[in-house]
Amino acid sequence: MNPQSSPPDPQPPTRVAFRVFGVGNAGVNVVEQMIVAGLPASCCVALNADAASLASCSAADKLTLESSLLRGLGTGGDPERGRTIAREHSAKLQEFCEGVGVAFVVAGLGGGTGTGVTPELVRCAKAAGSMVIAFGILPFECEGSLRNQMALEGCHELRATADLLVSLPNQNSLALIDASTSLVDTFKHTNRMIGDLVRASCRFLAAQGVMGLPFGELCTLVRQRSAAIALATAEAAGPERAAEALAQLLRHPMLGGAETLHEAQAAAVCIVAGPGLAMIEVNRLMDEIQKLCPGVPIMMGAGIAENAGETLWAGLLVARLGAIPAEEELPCIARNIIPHPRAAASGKFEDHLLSAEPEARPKSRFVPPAPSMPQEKMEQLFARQTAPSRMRKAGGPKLRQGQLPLEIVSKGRFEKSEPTIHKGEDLDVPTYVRRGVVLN
Amino acid sequence: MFDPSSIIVGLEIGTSKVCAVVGEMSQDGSLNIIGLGQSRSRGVRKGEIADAPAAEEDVRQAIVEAEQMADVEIRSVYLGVTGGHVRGFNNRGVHHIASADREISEADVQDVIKNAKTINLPAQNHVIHAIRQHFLVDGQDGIGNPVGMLGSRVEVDVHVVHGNLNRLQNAIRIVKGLQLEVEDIVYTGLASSLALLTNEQKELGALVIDFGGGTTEYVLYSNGIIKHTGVLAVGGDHVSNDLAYGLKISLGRAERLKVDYGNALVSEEDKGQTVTIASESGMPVKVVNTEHLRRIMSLRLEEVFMLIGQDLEHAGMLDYLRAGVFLSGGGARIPQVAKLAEQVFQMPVTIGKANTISGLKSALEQPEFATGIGLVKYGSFQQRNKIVKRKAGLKDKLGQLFRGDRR
Repeated sequence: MNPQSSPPDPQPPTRVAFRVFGVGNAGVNVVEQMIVAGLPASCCVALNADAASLASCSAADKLTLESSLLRGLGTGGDPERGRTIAREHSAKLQEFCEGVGVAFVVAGLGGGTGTGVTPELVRCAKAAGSMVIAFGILPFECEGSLRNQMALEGCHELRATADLLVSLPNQNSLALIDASTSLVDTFKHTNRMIGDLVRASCRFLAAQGVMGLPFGELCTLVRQRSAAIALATAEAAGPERAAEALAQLLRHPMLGGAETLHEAQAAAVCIVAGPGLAMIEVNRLMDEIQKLCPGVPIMMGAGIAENAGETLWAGLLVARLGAIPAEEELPCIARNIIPHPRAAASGKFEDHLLSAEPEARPKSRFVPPAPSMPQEKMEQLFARQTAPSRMRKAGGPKLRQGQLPLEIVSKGRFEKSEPTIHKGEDLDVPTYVRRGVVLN
Repeated sequence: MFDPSSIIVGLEIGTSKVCAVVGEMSQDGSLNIIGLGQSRSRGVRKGEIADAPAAEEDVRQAIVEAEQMADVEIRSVYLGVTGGHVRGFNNRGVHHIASADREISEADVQDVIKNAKTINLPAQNHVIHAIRQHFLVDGQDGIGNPVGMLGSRVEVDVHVVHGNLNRLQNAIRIVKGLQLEVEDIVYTGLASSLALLTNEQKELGALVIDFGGGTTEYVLYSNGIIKHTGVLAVGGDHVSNDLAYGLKISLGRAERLKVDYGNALVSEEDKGQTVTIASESGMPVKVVNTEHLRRIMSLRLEEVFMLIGQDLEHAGMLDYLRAGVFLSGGGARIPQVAKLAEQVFQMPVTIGKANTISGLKSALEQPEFATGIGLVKYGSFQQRNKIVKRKAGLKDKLGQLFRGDRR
């Protein structure tokens, strides 16, 4: 956990203008915490459907996502409503993103506003030409499976829209507290930690790169191998600052322990310090991390911040596969082949001629099976269908536009020819990539 | 004997190769393949011209080779066309019989076919084929020829294959640039099916899949008529590209690996097997995992079959295939591809052979020449019609003359 010091905060440099967006209650609280810790209020934007939470926030730009649809009641935990009102306000959202180089979007996923509004905001930011790094705060496990499931779906959508999605499971912050910590303090700790992560990210992007970490390349590297991306940052000073920073990184609760590094698919390290940054320090840090995850592609960047003094900041980004277990259960569109029971079971094609008992004919070979979903989700969908709410009838689009996943896959030979789009899928992209088959 | 009309040439400008097939039609109307010319294609992507000068050079080479082999001079060709823009659909025309005795005459049949061919297409689209299917007389289905029947209303279904005019013109221009006449343009899927299927198979119901270099065409026959056609702009090039991307090797190496070690199915024995790629000088460059290679191929091929299957299922045609599936094109050479297709379609799959005509054994046995041979066959049908028409025309004229004399 980072001490509550107030380090010299990065001023928005002229090169990369950035803005921090807090969406929903959790996002607004994190932004508020960051302003308290010294981030200029002018680069913060707070968005919420709840006017009361915005009133207490000191961000320069605030937007109450209000419409006749909600009647002052908030989104009521329905992401669909969040999405609708975000669309109503899309012009305003785009205005916020005008001229912003990098947009940091902080949102608590699992609720109505965070889950519904954030993807729309990301889309607006992308439309305005900004890079988007999203920080998705996942709910505590004790908050219930429904909320967790919603958060995962939000994650899924955000990963497709944002350039980079860092997932921050609240559950991990339990490591920060002891038995006597109050609920209020727990949230304070968590918010502070997340605020630190976001501010550190700003710092890494703002620092003058000596060994630059190209953001686009980083996104490509991570996207190809990502399921979940964890971020840890550290701050240290003194003669042994490199070793200290490394220890802090590995201890960081959001990393989930040093074992995470063993199952990493890709990693990126960023080091920022004053002009006195020594090569030997960079080398030591990188050496240790490379030892922890051998054979994994690691990107590295080092930057100089003039106002850093003796402090060294280090950030570690780790992309893992399958860290979120429920993720794989989400229905995958492309994976709709139903293996023939006999062919799959026997392996020999002629075998079935010998088997005497007739089998029921499979219903259809080319229609995908109904997506499997947990009981709660089914009930939720059922409730939504059977209970016609007045608000729904009052208006608001029910159709959701489908989205192509934003894959950065080279199309090689077909780069210049007309893409073969079949039902929204680009067939020029290798099948195994689209289906997410992993070649180890 | 060497009446120029008896020489029929089919030219296919494919993505991987340009191929010209020369056929000779004897007096009795039987067809014989006497020459074949081919060259590597460099100017075509996904079945469409991408580099006209290169394509022209390749066509010239193929034509010259075919001329030398068959020892004839080629003046006109039947040109195969394909591409992602080519689509097929069924259309129906209706005609009411006006005559008092309600007998359907030849003129009525011509009228109803004309109605069916009147299709509302955007201006830039060109109808390549309008293939007549069955007639309906007063709602009664499956009538081959309604002339002489009694009815008040005759309808006909046609299967229309159309494509973008400008993109079709590209190929035609190249051939014309070589001072060759284009007798007709033919959808290559139709050509392949003509070469592979016997009448009996068409009657039973069959699906022909031509897995080419840049595109995959499919044609479905049922009750002896074409019911469904389609083009998928995915082919062998995609397999190579997937391999190049997945195994991180150059396209040329991927192409060679595909041919040498490719397989449509991943078997247990492939696990842990590796292939070493050597450079020109024989030094080992890279070791590639065979399982990965085959998995990437298998997924792509499976997807192509799945997409075709979905399209046919959507059209409701999948249960009419009693003769099964026939594969042609270069993709049919992939080991075990038939087995993979069997798993997907769950019906017998055979590698198609152009058994329906006589001629060069070496040409007829190869699945990739099915299109060229089919083009020649299509040409022979057209030529036969012309001869019949010419004869009829002469008779009519003479008849008129005599009648005029009498008058």
